[in-house]
Amino acid sequence: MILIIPLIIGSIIITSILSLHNISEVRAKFYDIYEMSGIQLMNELSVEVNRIANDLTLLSTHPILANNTTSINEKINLLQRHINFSQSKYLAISIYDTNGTTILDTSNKSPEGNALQEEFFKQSKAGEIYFDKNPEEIAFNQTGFHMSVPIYGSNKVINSIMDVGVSISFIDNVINNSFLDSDIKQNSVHFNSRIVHSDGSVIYATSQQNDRKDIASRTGSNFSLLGPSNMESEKTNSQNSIIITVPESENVKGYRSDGNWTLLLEGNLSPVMNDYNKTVNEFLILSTLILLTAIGVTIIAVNKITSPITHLKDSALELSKGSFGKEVMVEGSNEVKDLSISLEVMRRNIENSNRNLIRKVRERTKDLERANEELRTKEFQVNSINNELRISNRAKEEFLSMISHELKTPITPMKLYIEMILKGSKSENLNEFQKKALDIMHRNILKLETIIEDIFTVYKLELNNFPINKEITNIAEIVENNVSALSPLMKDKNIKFNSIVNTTGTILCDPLRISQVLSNLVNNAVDHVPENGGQITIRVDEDIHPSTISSNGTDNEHRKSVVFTVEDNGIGIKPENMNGLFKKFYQIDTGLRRKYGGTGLGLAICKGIIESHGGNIWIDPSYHSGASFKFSLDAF
Amino acid sequence: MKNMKGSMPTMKVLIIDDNESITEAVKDFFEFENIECRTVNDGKRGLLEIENHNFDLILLDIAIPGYTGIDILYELKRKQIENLNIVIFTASVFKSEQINEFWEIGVKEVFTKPISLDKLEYIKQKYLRK
Repeated sequence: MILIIPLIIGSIIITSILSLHNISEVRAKFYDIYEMSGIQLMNELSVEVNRIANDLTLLSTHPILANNTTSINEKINLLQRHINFSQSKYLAISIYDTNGTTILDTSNKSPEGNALQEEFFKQSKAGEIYFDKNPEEIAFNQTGFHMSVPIYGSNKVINSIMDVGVSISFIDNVINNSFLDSDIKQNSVHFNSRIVHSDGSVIYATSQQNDRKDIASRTGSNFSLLGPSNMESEKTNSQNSIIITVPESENVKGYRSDGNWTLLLEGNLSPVMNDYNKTVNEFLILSTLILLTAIGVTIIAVNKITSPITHLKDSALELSKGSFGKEVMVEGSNEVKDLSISLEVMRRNIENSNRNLIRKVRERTKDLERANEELRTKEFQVNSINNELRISNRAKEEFLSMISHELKTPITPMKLYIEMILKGSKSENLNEFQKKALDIMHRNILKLETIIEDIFTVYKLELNNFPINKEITNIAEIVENNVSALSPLMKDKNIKFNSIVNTTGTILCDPLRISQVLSNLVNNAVDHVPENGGQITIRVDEDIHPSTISSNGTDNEHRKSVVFTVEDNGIGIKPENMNGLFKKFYQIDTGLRRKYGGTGLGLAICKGIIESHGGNIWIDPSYHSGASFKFSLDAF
Repeated sequence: MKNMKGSMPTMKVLIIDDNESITEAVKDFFEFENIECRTVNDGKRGLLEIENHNFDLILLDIAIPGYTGIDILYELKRKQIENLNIVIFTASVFKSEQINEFWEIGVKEVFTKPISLDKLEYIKQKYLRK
């Protein structure tokens, strides 16, 4: 856009220069035309002077004039016949004899006295045609030139001089008939044409407004400048005036010019130049207007094209910033309009989907808030339940602990006394009955202690408050300790008891608790093997996959684990009883007449302890020679 | 006093437990072994006995209703009574850091209840030999 302004200014400057150049060209053209015309005019003028001279020369040879004997009247008649005075071409004729005496004068204004001293007389007496180029009043207030010719007698000797007053109007005729005149008229250029004598006087002027003498006096000082050599400089006078000087023609046949006349053409180009300038100005104004209009149109057009694009750009920018609320203006040319429409459609789609999204998010948020509220309520409820549970658990624990203590405390002195009697020196004084009674009492006290301990343990396990102190334990050692602890019992009962340990590894466990489990399982087996030929085996193997049998998933499948097995050759366990066996107080044989004793807590305690270790305990259903209890623990 | 033998100074044991049957049984156990025994069934009296007599061994039950075994231990510590031989019996698991506090006043060992003949034999062998 900024580029357009210097372009416009440049065009205006170039146009102006061209116009100005044209003005000088116009002036030069006018100059050429009028110079040519001037030259022609001066030629015509010379030709006319020459014709007059010829006419007079011809007249001078007429016998009536040349013969001194003819009367004056005859001569006047002749002259009147030949010279048409009515045309005002000739103002007066006078004839002088060679002595300067007036013979004839039509004007009665012949020189007073003698004409001998007159220039025309001297010239013509010498045989020349004289033409006085300075006009003077000749007759009846009419201005004219003196032209004198010698009149030759029959002897070819000058016998008289004829002086004719030629009216200045012949110049009018020449000028009026000249090309210059019509041309000047055609071009409506106001020209002052003057014929100036070399002595400074104005011979003739076309301008009627100006007095000849005035002009002569005013311009006289300049005439020396108006020679042919100064013509070039005159071309560049002023803008609106043009002065052309043309010298008298020298090459006209017959009449020898003295070159005293100069045609001075003073033209006023103002009308033409004004016209021209007007045209040029109009052109300039018009072209400027056109240019400005063009610029305006261009700017508007450019704006019309670019502003939709700018709007589009702004809209696209807005969209890219993520604000979809402002409508895209649909405007501009077809392509831009299409683009705007597409963008607007896109914007609306995005806005709609945004709105939908926001609505959905709000709905979801509301749902979530509701759910959260519910969760909070639930959490609160759970927390209060947990608190209650914790309180009730603590209460239970405290109750259990108290019960256990209260149950154990009375047993302690009973047991102490029985043991003191049975094991001390006092037992020697007892009879068999007393000894038997004390023995039974002692055994039952121990049993009671175990039952109390079991109950306490099983509830502690259930309350997850059973202390497990894990340490790295050698498997073989723990089995060996169990075997040696249980061996006396086995010997008493005549049971074949052995152990097979197929691993040298260790496990991370509470050895006392694992011993307790093993001992529980073995003691269970002891109760179920036949009285004679009972067999109990403790076996430990590595890497048997417990997951195929285990109840809780396949987590252990790829872990190295250790499986403890306690097998007996007892009555075995029916598959339908296998699941319930680890529940507390579960006994297959219920009722008062049950064959096997125990509290039914042993296996529940085993299960609790093994699960507290992250292990599994189960009964091998594929073992049919008796019962096979297995538990697995992660190898360490 | 029938068991006292003139010039031979006998060992003296104090048994503090709220259960009379237990203190009686323990006292009988020690008296069979010719060890002088005194039994107390409440904490305050137990403390008085410790302050006023010299015992070779004190068997202290923690769970005494009212003035407990722990109260006695704190009071002894506060009064800076030292050089005692105390064996504790407790039904609950006694935390070791709790016992550490009382090593300086002379707590030697902690046994879990119930009191058994084996434990008494062990204590007699360990703490009451001339």
